[in-house]
Amino acid sequence: MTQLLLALALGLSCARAPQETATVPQAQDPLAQRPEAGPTPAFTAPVPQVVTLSNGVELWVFERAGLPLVSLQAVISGGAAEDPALGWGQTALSDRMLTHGAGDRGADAFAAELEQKAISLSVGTKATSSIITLDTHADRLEPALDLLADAILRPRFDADEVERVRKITLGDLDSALDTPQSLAVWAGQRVYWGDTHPLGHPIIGRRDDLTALTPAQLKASWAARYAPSRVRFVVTGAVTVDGIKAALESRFGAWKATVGAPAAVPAAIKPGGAGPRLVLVDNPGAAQSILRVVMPGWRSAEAGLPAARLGVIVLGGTFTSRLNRLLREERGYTYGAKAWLEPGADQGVALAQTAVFQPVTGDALKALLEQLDALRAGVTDEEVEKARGARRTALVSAMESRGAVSATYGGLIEQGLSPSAINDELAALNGLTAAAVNAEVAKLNLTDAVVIVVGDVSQIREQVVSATPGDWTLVEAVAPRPAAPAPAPKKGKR
Amino acid sequence: MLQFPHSKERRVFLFAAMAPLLSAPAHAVELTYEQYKLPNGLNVILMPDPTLPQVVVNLWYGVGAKDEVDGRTGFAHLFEHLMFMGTTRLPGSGFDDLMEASGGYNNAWTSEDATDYYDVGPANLVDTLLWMEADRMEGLSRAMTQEKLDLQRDVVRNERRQSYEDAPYGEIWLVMPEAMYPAGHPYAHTVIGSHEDLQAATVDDVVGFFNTWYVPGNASLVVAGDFDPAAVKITIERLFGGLAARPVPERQPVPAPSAPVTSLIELTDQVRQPKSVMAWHSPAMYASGDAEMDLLADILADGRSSRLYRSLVHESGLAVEVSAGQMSQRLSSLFIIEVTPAEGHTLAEVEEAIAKEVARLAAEGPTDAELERVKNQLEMSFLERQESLQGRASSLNSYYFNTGTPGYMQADLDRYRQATKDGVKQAAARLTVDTRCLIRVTPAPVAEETTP
Repeated sequence: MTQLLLALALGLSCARAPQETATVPQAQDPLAQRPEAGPTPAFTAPVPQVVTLSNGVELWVFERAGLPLVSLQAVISGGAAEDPALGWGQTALSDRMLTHGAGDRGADAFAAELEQKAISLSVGTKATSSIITLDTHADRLEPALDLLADAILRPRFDADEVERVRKITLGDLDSALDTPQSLAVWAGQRVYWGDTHPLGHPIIGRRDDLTALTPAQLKASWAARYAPSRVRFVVTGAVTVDGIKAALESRFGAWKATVGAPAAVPAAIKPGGAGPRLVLVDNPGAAQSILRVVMPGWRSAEAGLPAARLGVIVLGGTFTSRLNRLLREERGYTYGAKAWLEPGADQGVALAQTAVFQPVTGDALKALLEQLDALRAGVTDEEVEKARGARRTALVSAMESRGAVSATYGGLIEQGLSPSAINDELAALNGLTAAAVNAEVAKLNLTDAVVIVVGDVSQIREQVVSATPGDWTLVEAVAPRPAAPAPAPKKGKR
Repeated sequence: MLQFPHSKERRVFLFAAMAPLLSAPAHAVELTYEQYKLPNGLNVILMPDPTLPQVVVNLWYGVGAKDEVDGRTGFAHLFEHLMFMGTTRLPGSGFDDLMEASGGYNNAWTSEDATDYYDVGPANLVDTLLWMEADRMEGLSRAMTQEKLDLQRDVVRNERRQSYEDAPYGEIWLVMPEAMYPAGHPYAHTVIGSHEDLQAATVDDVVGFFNTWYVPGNASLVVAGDFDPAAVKITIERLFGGLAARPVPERQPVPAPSAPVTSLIELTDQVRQPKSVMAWHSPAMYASGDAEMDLLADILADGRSSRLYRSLVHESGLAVEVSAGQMSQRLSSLFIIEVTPAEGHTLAEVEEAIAKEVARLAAEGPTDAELERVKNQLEMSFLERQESLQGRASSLNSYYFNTGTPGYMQADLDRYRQATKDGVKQAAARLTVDTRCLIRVTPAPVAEETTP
């Protein structure tokens, strides 16, 4: 009934179509003249006040009045790159346990205390760092910091809770394995870096490894990574520098654990042979294919990074970028296509990705690779101007919420950058020319790239090979666990 | 990590995005704004905030998938895509080109009830953003072509494949509307629509939809951020004031269903773990009982101290994941519980355990501590929602369209503050086994297991 009424309403309105304001005489059309935008307003990012606890832990503080909220990030250097060869997922599972029982509280009591006070405390593991995020009402900052200190300094790793969290993690792993996006990411890591490289495996781990990890191993992983020399805090919100410093000093100042610095991340393990490595991952029955390209990128401190970033924005960092315009807006192959950089302190990668309708997989792949080649040939002044604006707006938006500020500056810490890095980049952006950008994008190295296609191989193999001839290899997204090495001979007394 | 404002994903807001706007704290949650209407019916809300040198223009149209006609499911969302395809004054990809050339970006979303467009950019772009929105509100349909329609149809069909067909358990959300609502009900189909209906859409449909629904009286414009209100008022009057007033279609009341159409649906999918999803009809957005359903969802499954997590995941180990939510909508809402059993346990086991916990809550009600916990968490969510400029702009428009008062945030929070244990108990009593729709997904047989 309702639908019928709506249909009638539609019909009546259609009949009124001539009432459109097209009848407004052109000379009086207030919309005829497009407004001119004035100069872009100046922007300077906030710079944190940096103070140090008595044990050397650095604290970056942004005092921000207004809402009674506090957002804190603790950045712990290290990360899943430190997983042992047969313990993929160890770092992430160890980190996950920090909020599952700490200090005097078991897992239940710890969660109850957090949730009753609406305190959000979570731990995320990345390849080269662990990130602890705390969000709380300012009125509950003291108990929130007590819980944070317990999680960092006194995690329990109770055996029964380890079993529960292991089971949940295995469920998460199963969910990720059902997701084509995860398969593309993992296959890219595996083939680009190499199975035995610290970045060559999924952060969440591998089923057999997760199953074998013991509470003692998880605790040892924590003990090997959590120490003042590896930790820095960023705090944003309704605090004063002196107040938050005193609050953290009282909880962390006496912390004296010592651990070594994480090893530098080595370069990718390159196999012999020239040209990009071409990889298929089977996803039977998939309606779409994911295309992902992983290339050597830029390190976070490289002078050319701001220019390279603009080049990659031109390629796939905005809606009107070359990739999205071609693959989505001109050909209708996809819902979206993008490219971006992942700069690290030691290594960086450049990536491009899209998901396309299965019957056009070959055409889309060919077009994607052609666009990568074309980028190396250069960008225009107009494109650079657009990319500059996009990057600048992103940096302004990153200062909007307390959580975003803490996360943004936590990201600088992860990448080994200084508190002024945002303003340094803003200053660099102003002077970048197309020539400077072109000098960087010319370095994009497709020879050492990995091209991954995740899809229904029975349907796409022929078109992929036809569109991009080469030595295509079918791989599993995650390397199987190798057999454990034979135990070393026992050393006995002679 | 800094993120680029990523390329627009004109997304469909289905159930996950239809939760009511949970808002505000014991701390003041007022949004300071000025509201007025142009003679043509356009609602205008101004919210100056010079904290950062940026502006947001949020234009909300009171039309969504519920307004689609038979045989045109998915059309409101497809139309949203077409709004970016150019006008006679700004043809082709000019909308995005002009915006991005000056450091702006935009996005949009469509739900059952509404379509929301937003533009974000440096403060100097405010007149340009307003001009672009006025331009397409005035004459989008004049520049519509078959080619544009065909192209965005392909994009939307790819969105369907990506977000539902290839997404694990995605089919659940494709079958749920028909399972819950009788044929002919405005909510009896998905927002993304069917391939067949998307294929059937014509340019005439586009023109008709635009002329019917994209009229000043069915829209609300929020300008937020670093701007001069006096100057922007003049600009708005100049750009939007000349748009002709056109009638807004009247909608007839729709009775809220009390029971699902189908009580059991069994699906298979390319997944490793089975899953059960239970859905019930529940009170409409902001209606009596809506807030209590929200609180109930949090008591049941928000966090590790919630009832279902404690019982099913922590204590019995029957499940590895459980979640619940009140998905509030204008005409009537859905309450949904999802559960993934642990290895070695069956769907029937976890379904029974959930029914038992819900029945216990319906009989005994929540404890004081439980109610305090979820109220504290809601107050935090209200505070956090005030941090983002676009979030505040969208809230003003949402409150305006759904309650008539852009500054309803404080009243919204009060709904939660005033909720009682008895109210939550009554909410739980709605969740009976015989009034639910149960959707089960089991793994499809695979030729070869590829466990890493």
